Amino acid sequence: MSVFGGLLSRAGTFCARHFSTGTCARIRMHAIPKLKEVDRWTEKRSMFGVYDNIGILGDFKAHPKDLIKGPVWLRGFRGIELQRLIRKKRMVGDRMMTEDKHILDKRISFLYRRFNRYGKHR
Amino acid sequence: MALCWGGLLVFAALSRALGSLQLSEEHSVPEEWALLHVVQGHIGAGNYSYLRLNHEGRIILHMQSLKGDADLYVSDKTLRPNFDSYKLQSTTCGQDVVVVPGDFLRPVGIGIYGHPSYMESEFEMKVFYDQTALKQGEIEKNSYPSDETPERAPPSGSDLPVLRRCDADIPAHLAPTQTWLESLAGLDSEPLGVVDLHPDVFSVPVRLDILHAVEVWQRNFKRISHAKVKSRAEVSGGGRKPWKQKGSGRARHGSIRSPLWRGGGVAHGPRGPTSYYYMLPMKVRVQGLKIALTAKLAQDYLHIVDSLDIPTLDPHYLQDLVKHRQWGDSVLIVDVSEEFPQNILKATENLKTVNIIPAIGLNVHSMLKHESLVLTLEAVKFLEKKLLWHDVRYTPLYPFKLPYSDLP
Repeated sequence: MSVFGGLLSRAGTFCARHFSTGTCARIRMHAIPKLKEVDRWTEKRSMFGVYDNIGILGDFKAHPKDLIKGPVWLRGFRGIELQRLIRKKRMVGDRMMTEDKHILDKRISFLYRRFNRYGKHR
Repeated sequence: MALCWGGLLVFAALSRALGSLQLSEEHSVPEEWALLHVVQGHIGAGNYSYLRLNHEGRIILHMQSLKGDADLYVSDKTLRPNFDSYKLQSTTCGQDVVVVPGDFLRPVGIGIYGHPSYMESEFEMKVFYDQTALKQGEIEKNSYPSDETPERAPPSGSDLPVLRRCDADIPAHLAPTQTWLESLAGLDSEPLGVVDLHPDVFSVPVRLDILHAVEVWQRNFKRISHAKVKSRAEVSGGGRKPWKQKGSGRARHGSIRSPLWRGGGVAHGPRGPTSYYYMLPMKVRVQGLKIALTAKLAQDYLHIVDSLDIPTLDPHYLQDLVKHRQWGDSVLIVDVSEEFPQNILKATENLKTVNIIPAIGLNVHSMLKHESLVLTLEAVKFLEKKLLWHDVRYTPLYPFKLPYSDLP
């Protein structure tokens, strides 16, 4: 019933169905999807958070920020995008690829101009 | 008014008379009363001063109000008796004498109340020990040598001995929390004894908001989200103006990679690896640990064990033990040293819900994830030492990881 409407397509119109007698849903689901089974006791999940108190229980030889796994310029640091990019440029800028470096510089100058020249808070 | 004044004069005369009586009574203290202690103090109107009596045997408290009016309330049920919860009292104006029998459970709480009719009361209390009142029961109780510290009657009322006392000093107004000392050796072995736990670590007020804050911190401070999308400057192409500004009949555009276009960059998308790092104050994290330990103890999910020696390296033995003793679905075992006995290591290796960590690795998230917590005696000692230090330390002038002359 709605198939004929779809065949008659004129240039300039983007509607697929011109006639429709029913209320068919666009999303077709033939079965209720199964809940994904999550194992709550994997090694990672059961050992999450261990050594987070390594400073207070371990004589302050280490700090919890030493446990963070991630890019060098982000371990134990939090900042807005501009601060992160500047820190990235200072720490790893000299070993970045040329195109990535170029994009980074463009983004830094864009954000600098955006924050310091436009808008109410400059 | 005249009557009132008259009454006061009479009262003053009576008190002076009583005072003279007191002087005469002071000389007539029986000789078998051994003077143990003299306490002097001031107390404001309507305030209480609390003392604790630990000495065994029949004790006589002889309190004299040198100024004002101090009343005496004594109870063995509470360490802070007041005018509506006491076992013995003496509320005369002037001299108060209370006899504490030997069968009161130590420590006995003594409350001294400054009557509001006087702005300030000054009292002198003498504590006498009555040696003549040694009956059969008391002879048995006083059978240990006098230089040994008197044993506290355990609140559980069991005969098992107290196997561990707290190393640190406990404040005078608190009593140590007690719990069983168990053993992992046999499947249904009885508790070996009772251990004392420091109340400032194991019975702090349970602040759920601090617990929540510490748990959220643990989840987020390590988080680095690597979500990143290309902005219109980073998407390839899109340098040229697609068609001229005017005349083509189409909408005006500057590049084919603007956010309006399909395949264009995202305007305000996630930018680059973002970190969610922040630190809670050290004392908040310490308090979170103390609250978690208190909550575990209060909900019967804390078990103290003498050592982690088990007879076999079969994981089924541990599972049967946990099920038999009804410790819950998941158990977290904590010991001080990095080296654990081989048996327990092998047993917990392949078990998902029974995990073993060194004491340095203790944290609120793991304590909340695992239903019950098993600590060894050395772990308890280590934790008490580490967590109590923060109550008495000075604020750091520079980070603690740099050397301090008085810190080990």
